[in-house]
Amino acid sequence: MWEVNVIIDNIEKDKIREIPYKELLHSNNKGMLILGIILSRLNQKQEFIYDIKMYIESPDENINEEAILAFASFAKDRSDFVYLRESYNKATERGKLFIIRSVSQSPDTEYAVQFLQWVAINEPVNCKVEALKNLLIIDICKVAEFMNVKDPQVRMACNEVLDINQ
Amino acid sequence: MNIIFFNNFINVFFFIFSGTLFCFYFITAILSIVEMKNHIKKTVDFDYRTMLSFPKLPSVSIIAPAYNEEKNIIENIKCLLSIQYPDYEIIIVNDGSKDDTLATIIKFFDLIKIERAYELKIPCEMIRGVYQSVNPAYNHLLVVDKENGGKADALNSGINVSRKDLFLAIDVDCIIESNAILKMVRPFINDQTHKVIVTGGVIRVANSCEVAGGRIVKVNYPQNFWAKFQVMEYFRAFTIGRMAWAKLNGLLIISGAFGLFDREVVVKVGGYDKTTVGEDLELVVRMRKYMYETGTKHRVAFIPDPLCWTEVPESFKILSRQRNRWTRGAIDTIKKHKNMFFNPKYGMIGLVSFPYWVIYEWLSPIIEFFGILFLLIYLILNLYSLNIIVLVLLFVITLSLMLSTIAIYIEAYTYYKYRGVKYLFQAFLCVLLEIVIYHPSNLYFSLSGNFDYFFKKNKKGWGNMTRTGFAAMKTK
Repeated sequence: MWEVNVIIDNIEKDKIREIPYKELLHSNNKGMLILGIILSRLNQKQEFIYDIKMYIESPDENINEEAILAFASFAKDRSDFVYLRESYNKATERGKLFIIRSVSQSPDTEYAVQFLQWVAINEPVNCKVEALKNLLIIDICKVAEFMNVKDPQVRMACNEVLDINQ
Repeated sequence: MNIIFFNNFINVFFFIFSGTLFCFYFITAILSIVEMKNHIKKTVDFDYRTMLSFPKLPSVSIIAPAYNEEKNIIENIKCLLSIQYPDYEIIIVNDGSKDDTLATIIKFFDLIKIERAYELKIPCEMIRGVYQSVNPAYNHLLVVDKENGGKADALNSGINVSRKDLFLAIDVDCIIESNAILKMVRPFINDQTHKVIVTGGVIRVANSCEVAGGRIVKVNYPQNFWAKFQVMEYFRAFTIGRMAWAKLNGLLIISGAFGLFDREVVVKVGGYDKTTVGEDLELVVRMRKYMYETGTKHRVAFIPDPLCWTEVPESFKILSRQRNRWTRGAIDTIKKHKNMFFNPKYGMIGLVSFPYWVIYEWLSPIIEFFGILFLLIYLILNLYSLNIIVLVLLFVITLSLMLSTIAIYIEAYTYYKYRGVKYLFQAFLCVLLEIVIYHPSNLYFSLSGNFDYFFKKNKKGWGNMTRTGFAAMKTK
């Protein structure tokens, strides 16, 4: 990832705009591919959303994570959010947090609430907190419901999210 | 006949032992020089601040356990707060201090108790509360207050509370360079063939250095007699030893005072072991063992840049306690992982690094002690001629001087932190005196550590480690 970081940093500094996104996104070289995905996300190249989508299935952790990050930042339709939700279990920890943030932006609020509630109950504490934070924005009453659950971790996450000092 | 056989056996044994030891030293010295040159070539033109704008960097928690540190804690935290890194948090773990450490931090940094969710992924003593500052200038700072459980337990609490990808385990009284994390993170994102699980950095002696605003502003060679020796010792250990072992991918120890760990791997292996006083060595050995057992190609990286400054013991008594603890920690780790000894399942570690630790780190002082004893007996019995003994001693002294000279040369050639003719003169004197004063002292510390481990079973503690503190050092 070192070279990828250095190249992106130079592209940003030199304000290079002519980037062969398509070639990068279909490259067989892992580094080039990741470069293409990250640049597409940073420069908001929405048109490559479906080129990127296929890499969510990648067994490579780095490609999978970057693809999720990019796809999550482009997702707009309900079907995109459904796809992200389905990819959740395959994601890295960082990818999971991005999916939580992204799905909570879904136009189908009911679908988003269901997902966030599921994460708050079943997932590790980092994800619980992130899910409850996003749930708080959608509907504060839904967060309050978690204050009395039996699982102490869910209560802890709930208390953290509702702590006005943070 | 039997006496002759015994005599020959002793001679051959000591010859092979010392011969292989010097071969190891020689090889590691050469490897270090080569590796150091490579490192400098790769990094000399690189401005690490560039990394601050990198889009893909792991996040880092700095975990610093504190126990009865009220005198220096504010300066120490200020130093940590001046770190350059895009995504980090500082977790100070108050390990049930009996003094006013917690109250001092709360007052100075405007802390309030917050609700913080965490999982007890690694067992630790009860966490009484987590504090955060109301001042946005300190929003990277978290303070965990917990029941006393020792350094390993405090680190485990910090790991439980942490939410970042990597964590830097650091002694709260260390001074780290502002770009230390940027440099330490590099191997984690640079290595394409191996998973980097830990990175260590060079620790230097801060005694007598000038400190301002939590930073070392002038490096001085220590005035204290014992600290002078430790400068040379740290040169050799970090510049020659660890650099070479890292090159061979056989590094087993990352100092407990300064190491950057992959949090996920540490959690998987169960965190720091609270039952040993050598928790730093033990953790790295366990992590490497785990990686071999899961068939993961991995690496423990080492950065030769001086990134962390620490105050070393200034009295014989405190130094003795520290080295005694190091010895007990090493024996404990060796015992716990004895199945790695010459075990090909653990690759380089099982076949080279671990046996090296057993033979040349643990047993070496014991063998040396018996060597001296035999030498004296043989001298009394007139079995050796004085000429041969003088020749052997000269050989040992020359090799010892050569190693120290290489270490001093590498330091001067690369980082050049210590300067001036006065320093060079003192360093030379120190290297000479080391053979007759510091080395025998170290031998005594190791033997007493062995004695305490095997015959004083209840001796498990760290012992009191009194320090002067940077606040008391010359500051601008």
